[in-house]
Amino acid sequence: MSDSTPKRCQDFRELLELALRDPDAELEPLAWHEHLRSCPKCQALLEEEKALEQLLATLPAPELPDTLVGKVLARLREERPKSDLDALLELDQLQRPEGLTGRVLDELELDRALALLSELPAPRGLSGRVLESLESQRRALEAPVLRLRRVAPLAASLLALLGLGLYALSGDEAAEPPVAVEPVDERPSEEMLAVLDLLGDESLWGADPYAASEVDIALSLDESDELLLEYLAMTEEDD
Amino acid sequence: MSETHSDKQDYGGDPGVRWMLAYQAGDESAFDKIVEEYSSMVWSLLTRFLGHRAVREDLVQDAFMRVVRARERYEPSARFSTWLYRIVYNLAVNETQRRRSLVSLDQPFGGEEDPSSLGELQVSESEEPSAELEREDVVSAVRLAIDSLPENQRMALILAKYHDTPYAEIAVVLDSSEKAIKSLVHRARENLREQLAPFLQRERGGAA
Repeated sequence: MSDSTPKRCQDFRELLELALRDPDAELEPLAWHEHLRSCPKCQALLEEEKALEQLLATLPAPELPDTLVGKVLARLREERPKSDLDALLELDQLQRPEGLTGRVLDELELDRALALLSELPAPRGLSGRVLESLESQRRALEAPVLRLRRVAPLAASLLALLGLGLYALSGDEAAEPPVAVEPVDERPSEEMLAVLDLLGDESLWGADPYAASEVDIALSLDESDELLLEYLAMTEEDD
Repeated sequence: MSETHSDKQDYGGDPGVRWMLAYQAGDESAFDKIVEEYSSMVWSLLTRFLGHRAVREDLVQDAFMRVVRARERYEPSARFSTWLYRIVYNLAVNETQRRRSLVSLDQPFGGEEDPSSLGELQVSESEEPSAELEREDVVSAVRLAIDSLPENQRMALILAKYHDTPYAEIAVVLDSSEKAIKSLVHRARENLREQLAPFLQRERGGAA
């Protein structure tokens, strides 16, 4: 539509274009448009467009051949990259030869199948969904254990804190924690044994402690020890 | 690309989009539904654009193979039919160019089953052909006239006229604007009126 086209013609042709664009619209009512009474050009255009619509409507709708969808699907299945899982599933459809050769081939097929299974990537499609479902079930089963694992250390810590709190609040001697008694593996020195013997602790070191200790004392006691012995001797005499 | 087709639009109600997303998620049967539902549409568009050529079956196959290949990267940014029209348009244009490179440029570029040129189908005033033959001539003339349109005009007209596609969606198919599509369709109709002038006159005369 050129700029020189009168405004009324432009308006009419805009209406015509809108009617042609709308698949449900009809051109016939436009024939009664007031503008056409005074504009043979627009009238001729409308007639041509109506005739063109009729011509375009003569083209029959292309009919889809009955077998095309089946052909397309079959060819697409052939050309679609075959997954290892598909290859595995096809093993069931193989015709197995009989006899020794057949059994050998069976073994080879089984080996191949096992190798495929070990190398099978995460499959897409149905098998992928099955695996996802199994995984979600596994997670559901593991969930209580995981929760226990997470909760147990926290509970133990809380109990320990509670125990310490109670101990701090009680102030009762009976509640004092027992003092650990460390066993002494180290045997007392000969000098110490001699002193203990002199002290007469028979309950600890057995009977007749004096028989051997005199020699020991003579060999090892220093001056201070001798003074102690003298003191002890005097005390003994006093008793 | 038309701005009227915002990527933010929700196409969840479009069955084609739903099937494609299901197929993308791993549902192989959704792809079968796509083929069953849209084969007819693809076939019609190819037939109207290319004429009755044997290659159409291969192109239908190729169109759906492209759907398969687009499985991973598909995003619903338009109606599924619009997305598929775009695939078909690209395939059809490739086929046209391939064929053009094989056929001499001065030969008429008709369908394989439509070897006649429009010039041979001019309306004869003197003869009184049977209604059937007359109708066949009209159909052939209309086909040839559509075939002679430039590719973008042809696709715009076919989608608008025979597939009831809104201009905004045609704009997505042709990677253009709605305004440009309005202009394309207008020029396509002008070209058709010019080429089919004798038939239009008879049509008007018959209607009068």
